[in-house]
Amino acid sequence: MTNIDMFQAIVAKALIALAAVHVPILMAVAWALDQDVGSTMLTAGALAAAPFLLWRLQRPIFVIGLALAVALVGQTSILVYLMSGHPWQVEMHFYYFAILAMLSGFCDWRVLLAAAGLIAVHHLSLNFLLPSAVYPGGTDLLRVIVHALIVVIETTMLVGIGYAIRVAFAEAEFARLEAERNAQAIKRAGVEQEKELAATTERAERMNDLLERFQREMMDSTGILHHAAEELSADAENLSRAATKAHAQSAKAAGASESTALKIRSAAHAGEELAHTITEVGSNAAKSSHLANDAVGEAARTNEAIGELAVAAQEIDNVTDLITAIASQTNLLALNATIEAARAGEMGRGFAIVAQEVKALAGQTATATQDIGRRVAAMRQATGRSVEAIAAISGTIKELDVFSARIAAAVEQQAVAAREIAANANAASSNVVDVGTAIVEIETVADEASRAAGSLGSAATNVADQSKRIRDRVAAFKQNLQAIQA
Amino acid sequence: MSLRRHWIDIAALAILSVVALGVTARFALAPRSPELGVAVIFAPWTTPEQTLARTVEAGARFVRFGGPGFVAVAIPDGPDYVAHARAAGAWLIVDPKIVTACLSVVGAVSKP
Repeated sequence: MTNIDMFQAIVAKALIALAAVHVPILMAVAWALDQDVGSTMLTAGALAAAPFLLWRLQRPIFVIGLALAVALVGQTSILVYLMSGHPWQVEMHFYYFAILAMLSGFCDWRVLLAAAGLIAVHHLSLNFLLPSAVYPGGTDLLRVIVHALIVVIETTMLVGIGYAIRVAFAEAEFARLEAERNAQAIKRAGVEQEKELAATTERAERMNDLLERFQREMMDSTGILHHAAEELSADAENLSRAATKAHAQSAKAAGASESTALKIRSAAHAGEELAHTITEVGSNAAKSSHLANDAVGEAARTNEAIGELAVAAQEIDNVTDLITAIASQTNLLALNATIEAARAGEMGRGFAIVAQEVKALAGQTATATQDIGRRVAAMRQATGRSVEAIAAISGTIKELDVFSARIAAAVEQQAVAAREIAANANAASSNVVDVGTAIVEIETVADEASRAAGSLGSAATNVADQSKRIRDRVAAFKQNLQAIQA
Repeated sequence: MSLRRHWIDIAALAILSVVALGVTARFALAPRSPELGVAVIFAPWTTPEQTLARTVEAGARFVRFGGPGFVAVAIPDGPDYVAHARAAGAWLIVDPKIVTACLSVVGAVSKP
């Protein structure tokens, strides 16, 4: 609630009380003038009750102001009306102006305007309308206008004053708020300054503690640092030695790795050659198997030819049998001719000689035929033996083929194994090469480690020196600080 | 606008004001000496004939009309005239001597 609100509330309460006080006064006036006391009480009471009721209903202050305007102007009108015909009635009119002045306490033009309007209405009805109604032409409009003018002037002035008061209140309120704000700002600033001071003190104490702790920790840390630097230096030397050893060992390993690689490469080469040779052997074995099959076929064909030969020999045998039979009959015929020639005597002598010759030829034919038979028999025996021999050769060749197939299978396995050996040897060779590369890298790393160990050693020495300097500086700083604090 | 928001309160206050004014006029301007004459005011729509008839019928001698035709000045026959006139429809019965109030047109009052 602002100051103007409080002021308006005070004015409202005071005027509500005044309206209530008016009731008995008006009743007394009515009684004194022998007027209707009851009606006066009811009317004045009703008018006084309106603002009170609105106050209790917590209506806005200007509504209460309007109600007070109605109530106070109405009550004044009652007073003026009651005093009608009384010599003091004119004086009673002044109370309207007093009421207006009191209502100006609301500093609200609406309240003042309402009050002025009501005064005009009440005044006009009593002093102009009623008289003009009762006495046509008997009223003095000029006087009414003068009264109205006075009311307008007063109202205008009061509105102006109310506005000025309102402005003054607003300015005062603004100034008060400004002052409060400033006071709060100053208070806050004071509190913040105190806080700042406390914080500064605390910071200083904390700084001191931190400084001491820092010094302690620095001394401890530099001690540890110094020790660590010495250990680091020793470690660097060890590392350098280890790197040198590693370098030598890796050089040896590199040599061994190279020779191993060479050996493995030659083994791989030999494996490859072996695989190649075994492949050739396998190929030859396959060829041999093929030739064996061809030989078996050839033997079968030879067997057939020999069979045909046996058949031919049998046929020859038959032919020789036929020749033998012919020779025997020829011999008989020659013998018969000889006999006949003998019987013919001398004349038959030449015939006998021819017969003798034919007999001799028949004998020779039989002999030759027997010889042929013998030879054919011999040939048949030889053919039988040939067939047996060929059968034996064919069986041998088949066994040879079986063995050859087994050899081929074994050779194929050997070839696979040899190729695997060669591949493994190649892989081993590649691995050995990788090992060699790795060894070379190790060697490089060992060199770098050696160099780093050297750098580390010098750095450790520097660290040791620096830690000693830090300790000296910290001690000097503390002495300086103590000198300043003292 | 707060005036619009509280129009019920303001209307009630206006009614209260008008009613209070009417009631006040009714009892405060009542004739002190009716036998010396009264002013009878009827509703504005009352014709002069009606005004005259009602004034006289209520028990008075008609003196004259007022400004408008619904206002009459009369001299009552008896003390109950005010009640009779109100029963006859008069809104206000006022004392002609006092309605001049602060305007002091008293000269007209002495001549009923």
